[in-house]
Amino acid sequence: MITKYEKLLWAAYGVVLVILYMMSSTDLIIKEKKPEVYPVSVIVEDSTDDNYVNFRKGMEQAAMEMNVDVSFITLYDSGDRKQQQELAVREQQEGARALVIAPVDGEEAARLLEDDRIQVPVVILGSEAAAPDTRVSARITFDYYGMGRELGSRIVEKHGRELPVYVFSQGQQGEAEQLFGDGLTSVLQADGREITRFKREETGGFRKVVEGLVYPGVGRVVIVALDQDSLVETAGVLKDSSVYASYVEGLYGRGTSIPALNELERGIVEGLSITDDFSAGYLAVKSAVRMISGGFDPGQGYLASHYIERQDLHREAYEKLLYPIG
Amino acid sequence: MNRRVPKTVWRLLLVLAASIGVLALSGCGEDEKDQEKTSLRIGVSLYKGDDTFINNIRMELEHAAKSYEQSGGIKVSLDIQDAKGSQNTQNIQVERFISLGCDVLCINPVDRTAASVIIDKAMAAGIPVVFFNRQPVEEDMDRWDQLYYVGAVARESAVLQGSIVASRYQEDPASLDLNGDGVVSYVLLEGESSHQDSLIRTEWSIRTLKDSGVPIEKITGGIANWERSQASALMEQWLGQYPDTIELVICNNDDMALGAIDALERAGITDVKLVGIDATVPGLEAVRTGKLMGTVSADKERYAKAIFAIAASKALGREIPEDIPLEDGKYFWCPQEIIKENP
Amino acid sequence: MPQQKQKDLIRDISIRHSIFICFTVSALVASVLVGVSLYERLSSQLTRTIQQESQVLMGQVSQSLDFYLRTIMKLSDSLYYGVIKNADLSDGTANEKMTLLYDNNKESVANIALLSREGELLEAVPAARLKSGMDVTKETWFINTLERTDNLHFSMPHVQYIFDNSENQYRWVITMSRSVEITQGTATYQGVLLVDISYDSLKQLLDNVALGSGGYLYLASSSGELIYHPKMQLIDAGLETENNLSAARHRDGNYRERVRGETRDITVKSVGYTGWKIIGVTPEQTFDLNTLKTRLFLVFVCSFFLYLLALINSFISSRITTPIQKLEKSVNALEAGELDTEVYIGGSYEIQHLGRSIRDMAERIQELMRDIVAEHESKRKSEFDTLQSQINPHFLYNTLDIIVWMVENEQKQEAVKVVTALARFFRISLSRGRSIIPVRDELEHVRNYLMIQQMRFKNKFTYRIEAEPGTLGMASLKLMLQPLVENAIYHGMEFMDGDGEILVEVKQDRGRLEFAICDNGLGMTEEQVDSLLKDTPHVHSGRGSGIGVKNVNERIRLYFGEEYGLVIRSEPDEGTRIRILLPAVSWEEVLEREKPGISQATPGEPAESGSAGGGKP
Repeated sequence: MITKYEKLLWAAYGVVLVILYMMSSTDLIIKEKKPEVYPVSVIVEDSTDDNYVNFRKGMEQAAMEMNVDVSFITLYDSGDRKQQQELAVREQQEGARALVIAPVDGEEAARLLEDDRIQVPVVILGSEAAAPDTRVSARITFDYYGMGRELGSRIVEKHGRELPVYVFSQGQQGEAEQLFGDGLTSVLQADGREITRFKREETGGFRKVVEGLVYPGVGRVVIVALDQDSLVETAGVLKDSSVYASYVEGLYGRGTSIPALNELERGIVEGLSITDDFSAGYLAVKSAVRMISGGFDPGQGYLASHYIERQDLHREAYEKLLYPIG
Repeated sequence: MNRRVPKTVWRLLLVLAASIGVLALSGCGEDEKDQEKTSLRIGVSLYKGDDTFINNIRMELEHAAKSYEQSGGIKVSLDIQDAKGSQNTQNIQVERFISLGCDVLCINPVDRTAASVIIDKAMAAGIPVVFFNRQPVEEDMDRWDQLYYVGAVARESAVLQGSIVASRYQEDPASLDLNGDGVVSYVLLEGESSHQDSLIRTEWSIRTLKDSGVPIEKITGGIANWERSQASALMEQWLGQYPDTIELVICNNDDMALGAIDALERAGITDVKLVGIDATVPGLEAVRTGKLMGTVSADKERYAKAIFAIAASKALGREIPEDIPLEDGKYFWCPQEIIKENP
Repeated sequence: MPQQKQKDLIRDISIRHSIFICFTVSALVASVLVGVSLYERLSSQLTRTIQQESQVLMGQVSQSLDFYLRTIMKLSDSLYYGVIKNADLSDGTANEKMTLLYDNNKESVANIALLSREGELLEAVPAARLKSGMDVTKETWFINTLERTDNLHFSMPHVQYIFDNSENQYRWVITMSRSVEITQGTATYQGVLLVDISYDSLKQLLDNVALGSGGYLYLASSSGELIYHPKMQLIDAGLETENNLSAARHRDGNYRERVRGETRDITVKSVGYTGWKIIGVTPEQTFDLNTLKTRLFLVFVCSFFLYLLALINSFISSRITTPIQKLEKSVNALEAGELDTEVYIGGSYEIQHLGRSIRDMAERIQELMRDIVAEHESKRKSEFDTLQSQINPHFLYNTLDIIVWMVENEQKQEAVKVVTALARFFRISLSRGRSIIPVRDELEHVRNYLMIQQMRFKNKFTYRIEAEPGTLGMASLKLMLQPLVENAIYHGMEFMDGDGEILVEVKQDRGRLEFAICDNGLGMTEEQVDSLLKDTPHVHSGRGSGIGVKNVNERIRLYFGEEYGLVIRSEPDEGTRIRILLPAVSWEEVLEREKPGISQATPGEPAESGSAGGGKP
């Protein structure tokens, strides 16, 4: 006779079977790992992405490999701190699972990390300021100070002490510019060079400054542009007239945009401090993904940066860095 | 015995049915898609990122998106990709847009005859497409009512370009007829052979000049594929081949005009006149500095705003705003005007 | 002892459960075996299929690449042989033809250029110019191409830097160059034909090729330098590594390598002419029919079959065992004493047979029991009769009548004798309820009877009682002699008129006690003798004690066994001799045996055995 106990066993077994079936052949219990798409928002401090071309390429590569949906967001007004913060919060609300932020400056970075509203992992790009809380943030940056120092020592090598050094920069100095400039000036000052700083908004355009070399006549100088825009602008000025060019012993700068590289190739720019932006972009997204999935990134330390001159442009060591494929 | 078996079986069936029911229902608890859209996702693919005109449109598009975002409070996610002149790459980009869940696509097709591939994919996914600047064939555009095109009427651009030269000639024939032989000798720099605009612009520009009574004579012409560097190279060749003969350079677009200017500058020649079309930023600069005689401007802001407005309306499921008149319900022609230096 | 308990438990598992367990276990083993072997087989089959497919895919990619390179090489050939060689460049048609060829190959070609030995750009399609300050004659590839005039030279991928680019553009190309003979006018001289292969088009060919899951392929030069790799940029930046240098050293074929702790299978395939190698990499762990879900499915399928089979088993075993169980129930009932229960007959033939047998047995038992009951019944009845006889009223009335007559007739002495005899007679009749009494008592009993009867029958007969002395202490059945004597008197002495003689003898012979009652009366015919012993039940003879001869015989046989009893010999008109055979047992012995526990009690008597029975009058 089938006892009640036995009937219960049968029923229980039947239920187990159903559950097994559901687990194994349907999507109800064990969800087939749909390749999860991670939405990551990148917020930069600029209103255009001109300086981020290579970053973006690196991010795209990482996005394709790791199934990430990268939203690249520029500010309405360059350097608007408040906006950056608001955007960060908004992106989180819209569903971003991690943020990659190139903060306007170190203060901003700190503020962002301390903002309670921001709950998702944050990757700070290009700033040294905040000591990252490794649970939810990581830092991808270059040794701008070191780059400045290297450039400084090259200049010291190549040019006589009597040449004054003009340092051009945009008005609002980002942290990178600041550190770069500090590194540069520390070396130059140690070597006893004369340094004059020019901010674009104050001078009304670098053209005027360059013109000023000829008339009223300051003489020959070495010009260092702390950021890409300044560099391109100055190069443009020098390209126009060989007279101006003759007054400038060497134009140096920082950046890897194609125009900058072209100027280097044409000889208008003497030397460039470059950064491996592609890797930075790639690693930023990789970090973000790792943090989303619960791991943490202890931080990379500084990424690669170099000083190059014309002949290095097509050297194998630098070619891919400067001209990322795809 | 017979009575007992069915009873057990019934019980089992009941248990099974109950469990299946419960689990199925729980699986159905998926989220309903948001009815109220709070964000837009637009996928944009450009045929070639370094085409200056396209680049300018791109910047305007980004501005339009930003201002829309600020005023409307709806987040706009603008994903702009460069197809680098490869239709294949563009197709892959389109697929990616669709898989990432774009609400609308803005496509600047590399190969206008291959637009049907993109249309197929978009139709299958139910995503409207706004084509711009490179026009797909009519048969393709007619396949679906969610396809749009924003562009400038090529004929109009050409006519306007022609009229720049014509009016200049009328004012001061000597400025054009440099060697005084009563004929304006020109060279022609054409865009891509497969682009519909190249043919139309060339044809109508010349025709306008002829119709206006300007005595023109073609020295030679070449295809520079809208590219500055190619135009530069061709121009240099021609300067070598036809020294002191060229008086006017008619270019299908500003980039090529600038390339020709590069060659002229290298050769140290300053009096040759050039006209272009597009009014790109460097083009306008060239007009300002007098290197370029004139160019035809499609109101780029309007252009980009139109693309964006159509895209945004379609994405949000709204009607297209009144201030964007559509021919045949599909085509928006951007108004154009002449930009020339004031002598 | 738990072990003992376990053993008992195992032993006592019902048939149903043991059949069920056996079936189920075998089903389980079977389904598991089938499942596992199928899984293994499929798994290895899948592995092989994946491997084969990877090979096929690699082959296809290799072919595509071959075709691609061949197309470009043919382009170079067409350019050279069709356009340049033996054609006069100065006639200007070269450019048209080159443009045509370029247009047809726009997808894969970035630039076509013809350079003179001095580095002058002769033709370029699409229109291009050398970068200001570019001196190709100093370039290594240029020099090499001019030296080795027979080959096509392929460079490593690099950024195009010879020609002017658009401001914001750079292109990755692979430069394919060859030495050519240029004719201009009447002069011929050496030059270089350059075709820049668009790296993008190569990339498109090789991108998105997935070998198995997690597998990929890359392209390396014969010396191992990477030409294409899905992660080329990352390798260059140092973020990833690849084993290209050692992999490219292999000849075509399949190999195993260990990179960063991972084992991978690699396939090396050479691409024609260029010496480039395509290397396909498949990490080992892709060969897994796994995912948790597949395994769960396997478990599910096995369990499901097990479930089905178990259900069927259960059904079948029930069908077999339920009849057995029903039968068992019947047997239980029988054991409990309900012999009337209907025994279940059903199920398979064997069970039916068992059922029937059990039923028959039960019936038989019932029968036997009934027999026993009947026997006991009869015993009881005879005992009862005995009891009754002990108090037979008729004999008493008659004897009392005699006594009254005697007293009335002042035959006091006779009356006293009769009364005394009567008293003794009844005392022994009762004998305190015992069935077995000593021989002397039995003789006394019959003596008194005879005395009384003699007086009643006015001395119609005489009697003698003779016993061997040793027999007096032996055991005898009570009321054994008297009925026979009664029989002799009433059937034999009626018509004797004083000549009748009754003799009662007791002797012991070879372990047997022999009584004899002889009379010289009428005698009986054989039939009468028979009927005496067989009269059932017994007719109360109103004149005697009421117990028949048959009864005596039965009682003797009941008490002592079948081999004892009565033997009657009679001759009509001569006389009758009834012999009684008993075992020679002393009365003490019998007393011993009759103690409680010894089953000699008969129904109706139990309370009286052994103890001082109450005297029933």
